[in-house]
Amino acid sequence: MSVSDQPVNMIAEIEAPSLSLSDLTWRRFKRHKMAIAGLVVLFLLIIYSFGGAFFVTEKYANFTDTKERLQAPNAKHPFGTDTIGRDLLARTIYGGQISIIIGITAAFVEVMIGIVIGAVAGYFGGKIDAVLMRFTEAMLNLPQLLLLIVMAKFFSSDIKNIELFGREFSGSVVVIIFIIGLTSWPYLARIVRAEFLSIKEREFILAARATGTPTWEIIFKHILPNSIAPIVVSATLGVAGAISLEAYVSFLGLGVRAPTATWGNMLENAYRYIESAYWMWFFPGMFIVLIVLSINFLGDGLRDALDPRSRTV
Amino acid sequence: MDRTRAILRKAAWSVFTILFVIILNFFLFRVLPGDPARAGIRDPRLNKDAIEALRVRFGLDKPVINCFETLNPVKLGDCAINPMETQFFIYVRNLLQGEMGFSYHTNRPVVDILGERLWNTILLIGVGQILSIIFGVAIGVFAAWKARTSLDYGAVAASLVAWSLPTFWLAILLLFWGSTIGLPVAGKATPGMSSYPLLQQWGDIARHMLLPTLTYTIVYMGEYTLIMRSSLLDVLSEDYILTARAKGLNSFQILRDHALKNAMLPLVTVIAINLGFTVAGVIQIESVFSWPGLGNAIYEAVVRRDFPVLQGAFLLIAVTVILANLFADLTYTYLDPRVRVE
Repeated sequence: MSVSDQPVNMIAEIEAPSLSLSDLTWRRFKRHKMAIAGLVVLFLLIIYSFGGAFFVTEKYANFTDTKERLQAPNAKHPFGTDTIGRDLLARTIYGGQISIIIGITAAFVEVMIGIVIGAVAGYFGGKIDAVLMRFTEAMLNLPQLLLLIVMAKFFSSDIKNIELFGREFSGSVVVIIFIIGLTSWPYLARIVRAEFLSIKEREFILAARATGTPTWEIIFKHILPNSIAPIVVSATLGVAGAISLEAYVSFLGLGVRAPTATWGNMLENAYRYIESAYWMWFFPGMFIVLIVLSINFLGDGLRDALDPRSRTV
Repeated sequence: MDRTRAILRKAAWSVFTILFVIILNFFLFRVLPGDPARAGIRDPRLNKDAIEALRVRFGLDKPVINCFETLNPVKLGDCAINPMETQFFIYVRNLLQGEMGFSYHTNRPVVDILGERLWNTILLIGVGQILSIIFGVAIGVFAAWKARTSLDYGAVAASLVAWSLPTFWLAILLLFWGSTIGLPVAGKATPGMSSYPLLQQWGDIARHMLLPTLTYTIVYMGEYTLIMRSSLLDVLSEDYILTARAKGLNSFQILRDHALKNAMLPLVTVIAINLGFTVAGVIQIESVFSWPGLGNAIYEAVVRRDFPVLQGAFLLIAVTVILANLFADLTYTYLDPRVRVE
C-alpha cells in the first residue's frame, strides 16, 4: 500500500537536496506513464502537422478535382478524398497546423485575461475583488458553449481573408481564437485569485513591500512566479479545451471558414456522409481525439508533478 | 440562526446573478451585428412597409434604452423618454409576466417552443444521468476496491479516455455504429408513429433514445468513476475505517456502513452542478442525433438568427445553472455538517 511507502519517499527526497525543482518535477512526471505517452503522441502530432508541410504543399491541400470526389482510401489518397475531391491526408496536415495554433493562442488569450483579472482581484481585495469575482461568477453561469456558438455565428461570418507568411488564411481563425479565449477565462481567474490570496499573506511579500518594491513588481515578479504551477496545468488543459471547442463550432459550420482547413471543419461536410464515406470523418476525428487525449494526459501528469503536496503517483 | 442567514444570502445572490444575466442577455443580442428584423426576416419579397410593420410588431421600432436608439451601430437618442417605451424595459416587463416574445421564424410564442423542447432534453438528461451515476459509482467503487491492480488501472484509463473524448465525436462514432446495426439515428420518433398504440410509440421513442443516451452515459460515467474512486480511496485511509476493521467488520460491511456514505459526498456536489451545465452540454449530442431538445433549438435559432428564441433559451439555461449551483451548495452543507456556509 502507498501508506507504508510514503514516508520512505519523503525521506528519500529530503536526503537528496542536490535535486533542483525542475529535476524533482521531471522525476515525478516520469512516473506517469500515461503522461509520458501523451507527451510522445503530442510531439508526433506536431511533427506530422508542421513537418508534413515539407512534403505536401498547401496548394495541393486545397486542390479540388471533382472527378476524384468521395474516393475511399487508396494508394494515391491514403486517407481518401472529400466531396469536392480534395486529398484528406494533405488537409489533415494543414488542418492540424491551424487546429494546434488555435488551441495554443486561444489558451494564451484565456491565460492572459485570467491572470489579469485573478491577480487584480486577489491582490487588491476589497471592493475590486467583490466586483470582479461577481462578474466572473456570473460569466461562469452562462454556459461557454452557448456563448461561443452565438458569437461564432455573428462575428466569424463575412470576414476577409488575411495574408501571413505568404499564406492566405480565413479571417475567421482570428475571431475564433478570441471568442474561445474571451469565454474560457473565468475558471482560471478563480484559480489565480485563490493563489494570490494565500501568497500575498506570506512574509516575503511583506518584506518586498517593506523595502518599497512597486506594486506591479510584487504582482508579476514575486507572486505570479510562485503561483505558476496551477496556471501551467490549466493552460495545458485549456489548449485541449480550445482545440475541442474549435472542432465542435467548426463542425457546426459556424467556426473557421474555407479555404482554411482545420480538423474541426473537415468534419462539417463529413456529417452528411457518416454512413457512406467513413474516411471523411474518421481521420480528422481521430486526430482531434488523439491531440485532446494526449494534452489532457499531459496536463494530468503535470498536475501531479508540479503539486508539492502530491508525492505519490 | 447563522445558517438560515447564510442560506438566505446565497439565495439573494442567486437572484442578483439572474438579474445580471437578464441584462447581459438583452444587450448581447442588441450588440450583435445585423438588424434583428432584417436578419430574422430575410425575405426579398418583403417591401419596406412590410418590414416596418414587422419591426413594429416585434417592438424593434422603439429605442433600445434611454439615450440609445440602437447599439450596433451605436446611435445616441433622447434620454428624457419614458423608460417603459424602450425595448429594454418592455423586455423586462414581459419577462415578469412570463412572456418571452415571439419567434421571428415561426411566430410562435417562445415560451411554447422552449417548453416542448425542454421536456425532450429533460428526458434525455434524466435517463442519461441515472445510468451514468449507476455505472459510474459501481465502476468507481470496484476500482477503489481493487486499487493498484491492473483492473483498477484499466478502469482509470478507460474513464480518463471517456471523460476527455470530444462529445460530438463520440456521438458521430456511435451514430456510425448504430447505423450499421439498424438503429434509428435521428429524431425522437418514426414519422407517422402517432397513430400506433401508446406502448409501441414508447418503444419507438426508446429505440431512438438509445444512441443519444449511450453517448451521454459514456461521457459522464467516466467523470463519476474517477471522482468516486478517488473519494473512496481517501475515505478508506481514514482512522474510523481502521477502527471498523479492528471491530471485526468484514470488508463488505465497512464499505456499506462506513465508507460509501462519506465517499458519495463529492459526487453529489458534482452531480448537482452538472445538472445545470448539462442542459447546455447536451447540445453536442442533440445536434448530431437531431434530437428535438433545447440544445438543438438553440442551434437552429442561431442559424436562423432567431433572437427571441435564443434570448429565451439563454435565460432558461442560465437560471437552471444558477439554481443547480444553489442546490449543490445547500445539499453539501446539509450532507456534511462540518462544512460551514461562509
